[in-house]
Amino acid sequence: MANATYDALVVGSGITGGWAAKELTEKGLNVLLLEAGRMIIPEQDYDEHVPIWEMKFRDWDDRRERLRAQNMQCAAEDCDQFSGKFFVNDLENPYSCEEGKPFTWIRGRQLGGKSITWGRQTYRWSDLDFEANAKEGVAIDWPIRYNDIAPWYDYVEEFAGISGQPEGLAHLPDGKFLPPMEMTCVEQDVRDAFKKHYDDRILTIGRCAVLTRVHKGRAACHYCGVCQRGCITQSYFSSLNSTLPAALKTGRLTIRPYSVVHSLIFDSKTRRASGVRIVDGQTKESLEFKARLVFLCAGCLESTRILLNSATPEFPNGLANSSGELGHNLMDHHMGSGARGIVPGHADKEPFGNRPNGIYIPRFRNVTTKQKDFLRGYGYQGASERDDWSRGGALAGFGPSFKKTLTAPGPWYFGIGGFGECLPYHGNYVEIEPGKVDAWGIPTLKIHCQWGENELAMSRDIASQAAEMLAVAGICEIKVFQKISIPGRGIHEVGTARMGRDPRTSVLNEFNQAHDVKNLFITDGSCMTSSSCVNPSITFMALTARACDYAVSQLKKHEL
Amino acid sequence: MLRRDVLRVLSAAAVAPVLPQEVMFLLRQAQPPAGYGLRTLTLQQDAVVVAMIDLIIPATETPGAKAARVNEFMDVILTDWATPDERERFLAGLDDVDTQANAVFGKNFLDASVIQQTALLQALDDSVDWAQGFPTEPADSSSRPFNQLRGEFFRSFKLMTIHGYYTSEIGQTQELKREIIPGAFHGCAPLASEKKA
Repeated sequence: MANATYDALVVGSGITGGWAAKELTEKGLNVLLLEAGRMIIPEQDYDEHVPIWEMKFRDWDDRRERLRAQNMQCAAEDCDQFSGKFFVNDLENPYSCEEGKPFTWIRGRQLGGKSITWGRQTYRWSDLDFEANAKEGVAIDWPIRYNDIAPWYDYVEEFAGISGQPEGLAHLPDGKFLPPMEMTCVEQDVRDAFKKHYDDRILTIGRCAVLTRVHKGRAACHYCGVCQRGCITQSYFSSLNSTLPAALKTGRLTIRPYSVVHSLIFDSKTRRASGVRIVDGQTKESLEFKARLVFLCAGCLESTRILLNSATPEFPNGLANSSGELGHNLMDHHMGSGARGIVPGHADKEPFGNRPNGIYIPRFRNVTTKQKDFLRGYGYQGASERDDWSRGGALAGFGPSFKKTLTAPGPWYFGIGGFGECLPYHGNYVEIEPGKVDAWGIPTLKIHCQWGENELAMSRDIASQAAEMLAVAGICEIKVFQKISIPGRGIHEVGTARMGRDPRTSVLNEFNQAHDVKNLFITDGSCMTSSSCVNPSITFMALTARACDYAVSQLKKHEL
Repeated sequence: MLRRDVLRVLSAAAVAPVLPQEVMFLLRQAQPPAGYGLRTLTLQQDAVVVAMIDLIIPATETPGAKAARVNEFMDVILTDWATPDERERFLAGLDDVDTQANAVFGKNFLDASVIQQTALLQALDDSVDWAQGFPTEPADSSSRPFNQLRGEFFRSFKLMTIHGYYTSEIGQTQELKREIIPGAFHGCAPLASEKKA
């Protein structure tokens, strides 16, 4: 394998690496996909339909194993006895944070990366997002606008399969939607109450990468409700379920698991990346692979780490870092504020099936009006449910009537939590920590990140608006949550190799191409110039497909 | 339709392979098999546990916590999940049930009548402020609370009984009639219990 030649190397097999592999192979390139973790074979590794009574600790998880090896990863609820294997081992993958500034870094190292466990929520950006930095004088301007990416949203949505309800909102553009999932009666009531009371906000069903009908040979969702364990019917979008099978079908994809990329190799004569250095995850052997084109899709901070570890005499502060911005402007969505309450009525109804999706309340702050105490905005994700037997842990009683009570559904609850935009701050950054390495001997990151006043003010507004909206909807016993998550916990880390027009202030150009190294493309979250408030993955997907199209056209013109 | 048949049908539509039976079987090995041998609870303690869980979730039209072997789940949790401190406090709480039975009725819990046992359980239940719930912050530097055994003895005991019962095969299939693969989603369906009645 080491001697084989490839047209392109793709580093990482997650959401963006899967797309890069698919696009580049379908355009005729021979691609070597380097995955740091192990292979995943769905027939063996997915266990979504194993009943809970067959698990040793039932729903309480394997506490000792989690605390031993995934004490940080298990901040993500889905890192449990089923899906813990799709999150990294914290002991093998250390990093550190500046004192007093914790950052929760959640990672998945296996074929498919975090695309196995992602939240599947998919929302387009609009020019409200792309123009914000320029209009407000924050950081630098995006080098693209909605029109540049819109056809690529169409393209990736058409392949991935996104269910949703068109709403005609200019700031949350509709996509190529499969039929929407149903709302519960409670959610419909809340939607109707908003319609009557507000002219600036709506409630819609979540837009998600889960199929509501057969789509391109993949089955419709069967509503088992635990997508994060994999999906043997391929009913949600992940690299394993969608892009990698398409790439493999071309016969031009080679997947190499256990390939932990150490750094890129820079050829100072051609000023191109000539290949990558890896450490074999099993043998710890050092190897090199060469290609004409390199796509870094290792995830925001991993791609950044690889570049920082690739310093050369020409680039002493990290490859492709003549701007000095590599590693800076780290963002994540802040969450934690919201509200929840009991909804009266509909006692004779309950949901049937486990909907892997919730409702969405699109951004309404700083859209047509202007907030005094913060820039940008937030959206809410939420859901309704009838309380179940687990409420018994907080109820007095025992015996036959207690059993009967717990078996019957409890009251309807409705709750929402905000996801807020984070501004790009140069002072939120990562660097290589001298003298500290991971299990493969690769230098690790030290992260410096904290929320600013804008995020804190927005978080307070998220809580108070949530309380108001629930009251408007007639919800009782409203509990308001006002707290802000630890940065990183949103698992939407972005921004550390940003796009821009000017090579002096950005790492990548408008096609995700490194200003300094023409055959190097970075299309994961690190490319983002701002964070919007919507879930980022569909935007990475669209940018990846667009970058692949550009890269191959440049290759054909011998421009790379 | 059996679960595996549903899976097969869905898989055929997707041209995705079926999860092989052997794989499913391997994944099921974790459950304490029939004939599970206690590792923490003594036979005496186990008998008290069985009597208590049988009063908390008794057999009605459906089997209860005893038939669901919730005592074995408790033994697994105490052995392979609890911290030494939590285990010690739990066992002390359990032994205290006998102490109280002796103080009030002059006999061990197991020798007391069902009416006396029920009265004692009622007193235990009344002593807990249920609405207060469990601590939500982690006890240590972990990212997850794992707080199920951090409350008073009876709060934890009842929680474990409820959890062990409703997540058992009996609880999931006979009591809750839960479908692992519902095959559809409806936001406003009639109550399952009424539909099936």
